[in-house]
Amino acid sequence: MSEFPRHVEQYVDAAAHLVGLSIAPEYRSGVVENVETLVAIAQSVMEFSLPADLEAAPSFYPDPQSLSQRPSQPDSQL
Amino acid sequence: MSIDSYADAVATAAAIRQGDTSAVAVMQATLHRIAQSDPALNCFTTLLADQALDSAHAVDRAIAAGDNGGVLAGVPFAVKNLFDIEGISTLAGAKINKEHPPAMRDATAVSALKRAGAVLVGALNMDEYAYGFVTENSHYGATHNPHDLSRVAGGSSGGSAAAVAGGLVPITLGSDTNGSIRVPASFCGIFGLKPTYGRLSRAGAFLFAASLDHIGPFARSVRDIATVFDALQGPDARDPICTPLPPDPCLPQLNGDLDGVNMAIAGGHFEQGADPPVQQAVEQVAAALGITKTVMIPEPSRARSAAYLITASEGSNLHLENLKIRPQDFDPATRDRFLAGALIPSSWYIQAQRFRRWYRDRVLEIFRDVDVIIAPTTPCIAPKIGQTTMMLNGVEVKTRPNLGLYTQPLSFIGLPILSVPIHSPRTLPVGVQLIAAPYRESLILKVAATLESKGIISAPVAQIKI
Repeated sequence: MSEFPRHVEQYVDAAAHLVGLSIAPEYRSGVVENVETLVAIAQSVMEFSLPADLEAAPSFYPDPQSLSQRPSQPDSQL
Repeated sequence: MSIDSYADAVATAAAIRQGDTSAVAVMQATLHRIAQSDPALNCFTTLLADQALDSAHAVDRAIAAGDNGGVLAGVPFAVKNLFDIEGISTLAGAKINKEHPPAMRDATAVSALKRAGAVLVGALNMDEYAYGFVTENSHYGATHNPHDLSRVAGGSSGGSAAAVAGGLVPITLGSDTNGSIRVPASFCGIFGLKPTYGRLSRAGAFLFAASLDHIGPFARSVRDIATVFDALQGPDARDPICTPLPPDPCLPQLNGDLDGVNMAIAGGHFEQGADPPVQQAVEQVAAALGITKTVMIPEPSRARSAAYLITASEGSNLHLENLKIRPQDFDPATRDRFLAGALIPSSWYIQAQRFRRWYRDRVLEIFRDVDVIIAPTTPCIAPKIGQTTMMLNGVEVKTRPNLGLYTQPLSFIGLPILSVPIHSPRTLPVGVQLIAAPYRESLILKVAATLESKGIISAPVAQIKI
């Protein structure tokens, strides 16, 4: 019997297929174990409520040259 | 006339400029020390002995012709093998990268140090693709801690740290995504600077997780860190996140007093899990600086988790093609983690990046009232090579991921951090992080200079017991 929750194994197999990864049998349990770890880690992040208007940290500038013309805003790139 | 073999970079350059010694003599002594000690340490993956001697000759000729030679005239240096070096393949700790064509040009940071007169000696060992805290590399071997050869040098910039700690070269460059400069600096008992995210150009350095990658120097003195950092500063259009801010030279500001500088100890998460030598190191630094107050950084554990998700997602995406066609050529220590990271749902990654903005804003609020925060660098002294578990808060945990316990929540938002070394009798060295608001490297270096002048922090060359 697998030591991992069934849904994690199923996810690994399906997601790997979707991204074009063929996970060899000898690597599979290690990958599943690592995804299990990521699930636990992600729970910590996903359960934290954030304001709806809070954007992701990285910013995109259509003209990167414009950055050097701004007054200094040290954290403008985050 | 000669100089002390273990003179720092500033003293070495001064001696060469003044004619007390020559760049060639310094390089010959360096190559001799490397030949003697590197077989036991395994720092170097590429040694450029002939090129280094040629460059040293060029430095001596320039000085003889009346040239200043540069602030780092004739100083030997080496770099983590993820930095491009013209004419050699950039390994980034990987077997796969051996097949890459030689780099067409030096990384920006390598060029900058050469322009300052420093002489490149070679490339240094690291964890594969920077995905590790130990420098136990299945392709190129483990790098050994010069203070105890049975222990790790830390990672992923282990070769860079051990080369300085072992007295092979006075300065090296490394990279830090979640702690890869600070952890080896702590374990090897030297100074390691992770500057503000974007302060130094990463152009020509093989990336790991672009959102979190930094480059920075290792050295055995505060003035060396300041000198190298100053030489590396400057805008670079080749790195999309390199700041356009003008350089802020730190060396001239080192010896100012600390009047009016508000300092605090990081509490909560940063006070839990540390072994006694680490707790004592923080207490020593706090006492020397007269720090009595504590600040609570909110949600550091969650920050670590978010950093983990971003690292895994970005790192895996970078290597996705090779993971598809040749997973067997990856280091077993990284392969399964990279494969798993490629499967992370986008909602996790995006949430982690949104949390990053929230967390950055909360921490910057703290820096309205505090100028410098101190925290331990690692929870323990260097573990044994091959050690898979350790005790943390009385619980047995996996060693490797927990070595970044105190470093990850801070690099996550790109704060400038210097890990300073504390050496105590009958134990191995450990580090303490000096942390400031973005772009305040000059302040943390000034604090470090004060600690160094008081004898609280130092980086003596390790007595390598072969």
